[in-house]
Amino acid sequence: MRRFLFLLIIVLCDAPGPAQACALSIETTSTTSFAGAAGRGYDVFDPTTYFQPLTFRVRAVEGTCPFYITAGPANSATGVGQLLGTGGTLSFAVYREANDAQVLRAGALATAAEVLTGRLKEKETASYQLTYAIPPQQIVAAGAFTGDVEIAVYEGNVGSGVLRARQIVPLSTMVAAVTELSFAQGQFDPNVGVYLLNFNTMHRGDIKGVTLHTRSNGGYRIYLRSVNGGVMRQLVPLDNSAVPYTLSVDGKTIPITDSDIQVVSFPGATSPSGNAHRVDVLIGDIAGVAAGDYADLISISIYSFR
Amino acid sequence: MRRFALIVRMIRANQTGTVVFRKAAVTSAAVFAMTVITVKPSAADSSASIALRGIVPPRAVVAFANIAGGAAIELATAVRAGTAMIDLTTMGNSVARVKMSLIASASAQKRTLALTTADGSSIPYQVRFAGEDLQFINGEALLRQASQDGFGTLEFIAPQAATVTKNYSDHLIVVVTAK
Repeated sequence: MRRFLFLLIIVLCDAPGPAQACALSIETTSTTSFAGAAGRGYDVFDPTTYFQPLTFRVRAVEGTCPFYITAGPANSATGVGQLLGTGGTLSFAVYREANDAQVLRAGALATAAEVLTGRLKEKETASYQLTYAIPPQQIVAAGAFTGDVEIAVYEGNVGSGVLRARQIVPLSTMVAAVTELSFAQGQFDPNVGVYLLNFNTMHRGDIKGVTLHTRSNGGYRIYLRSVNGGVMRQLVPLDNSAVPYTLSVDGKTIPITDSDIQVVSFPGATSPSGNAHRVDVLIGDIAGVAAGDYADLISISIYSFR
Repeated sequence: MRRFALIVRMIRANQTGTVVFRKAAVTSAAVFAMTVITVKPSAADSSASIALRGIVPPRAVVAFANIAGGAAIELATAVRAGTAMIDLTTMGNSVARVKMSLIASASAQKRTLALTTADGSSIPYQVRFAGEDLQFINGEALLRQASQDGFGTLEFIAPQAATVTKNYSDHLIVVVTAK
């Protein structure tokens, strides 16, 4: 009896196992936090597309076999995934390389054009790099956004492959509160923050103005103040002469002083081109005002709702 | 040792919240409401500025209080009696130089103030402003230099001449220049 059991064990050990030519594993090696420009995360108004690397390794744990890799947003049939946050939803996609137009899809939906192929001998490891990007100028409120990328490796050929390993890679990004203003009259340029209203020779009733553009992903308030308290003073003061002026924002007269006064309150998000606010200055009575060069500086501050 | 529990709920900008203040050993609770006032953040998200510039031009006006017609005055009748006084007012918003010019005067060629007739006879005269004799240099005498509105009396003095039977005249111009 004991001899029979021993022979049975021998027979069972020699019997062929399930048909698995190789065992593959996946290991991601890159950060999965979207850095954007200079590590600031996703800037909703930045028009640039930033491609961020998505690196991983495939290892032949056992056996030797040809394989292919699929990668793309998890649970997406189109290849366009979603990063979900309290402030809304950001779309993203995975690409073979930067500036590539072809989005990649994960899993069985991937076509031959959307996969990476390779062949590894047992114990060998290969490194791969894809990219992912969040299309620019998706206007969402500030907050944290998260989503998933699925990477899968199949043994065999596309269409008949056998799934050997699958990994869900969490992606995340921070969206900052962005509130900007600009005097640029074409494309919004937050670097254009100084404007000169030069009346040259002034007369009572002269009026000049400029359009101030503002944009925000969460609403904003605008405050104004005048260095000279709402009048123009002599550059080289000979006396206390002052040129009075009337300031209006969007047609509404503002009693501007040397302290901040709120002139605009706008809730919610704007488009990338922003909102336009008209600022006009009307020269008052200058009879009796000493001759000379006059100036004032109107400071404009914009604060996001927070 | 007394211990207090401070529970703050629902306090946000521009909202009324409730602060429940309980003293552990006391069963009753003091409840009061407070309002959080919106406070502008200390740092702006972005800032810009509008620089205003402009020029108030210099402006000066001269006027005679008792002579119509501006700065050109005829003295022919006035000095015949010997002395004439004319109030002169200057107005401006700048440093003004008020000068009397002999450009159009018959006295310019003679380098002395004189009333003349068509046949060439003349009577000398003097001009004072604010009690001071005017000193003509290169045909001009400075009456006033000031940045404020001014006032003064021009005084024309001719010698008493009982034999005068002709109309003597001269032509002076008062010029005010602002800078």
